[in-house]
Amino acid sequence: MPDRLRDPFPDWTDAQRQAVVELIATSASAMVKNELRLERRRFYMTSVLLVVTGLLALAAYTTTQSKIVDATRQQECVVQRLIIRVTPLQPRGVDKDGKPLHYTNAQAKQVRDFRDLMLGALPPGLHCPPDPGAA
Amino acid sequence: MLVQAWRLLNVAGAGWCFAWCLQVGWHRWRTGDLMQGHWLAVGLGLMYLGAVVGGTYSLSVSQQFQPGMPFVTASIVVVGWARWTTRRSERKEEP
Repeated sequence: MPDRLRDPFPDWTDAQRQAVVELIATSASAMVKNELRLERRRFYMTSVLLVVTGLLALAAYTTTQSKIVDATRQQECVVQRLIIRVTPLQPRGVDKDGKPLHYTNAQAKQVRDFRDLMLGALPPGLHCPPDPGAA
Repeated sequence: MLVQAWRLLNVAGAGWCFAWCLQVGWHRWRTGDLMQGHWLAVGLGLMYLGAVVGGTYSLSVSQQFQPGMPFVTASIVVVGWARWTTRRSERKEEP
């Protein structure tokens, strides 16, 4: 008979053997249960962390995105204000006789067309606050 | 006014989440079992610190609704729920 098959405890009774087998089975079961419980908890906590990280990332993304949109709109309003200021529909100043300047019809059309062309390059539906320096 | 109160609650909640993450990280660090998951908690704590700082600054400059606010609130609720269930299961395991 090979050594590995030889009974190492030949003087043990069947009852003793049964007790040892039950002890090992109980310990193994408890170990597995404990390990499963820890694994479940790890999985749960990692899931929570991932969800929370995702939510925070979404919060940062949406907030940044809205800030970018606001900043872009502000810049577009600055450009709109600039276009309106540099294309006055009534010329400013007076002539050599002290009378207010006037466009000819052709000049007025040119100015209006140029203003419309420039404003047309801005995105449609742009709502800007009134220009305080326009008056 | 309502938005301002909501933002204030968000900042307070983020502060609480930061404190909890810091406490978990510190406790694990001291007991010497800072595992991968707990490093995540520390990272999350730092993110909440950012939320507290950013939220406090934002409160001082703007009164408006920010689109990120519902997500921050949702994350605080998830962390609170996780804290509650963890504590409950710890109590169950105590002899």
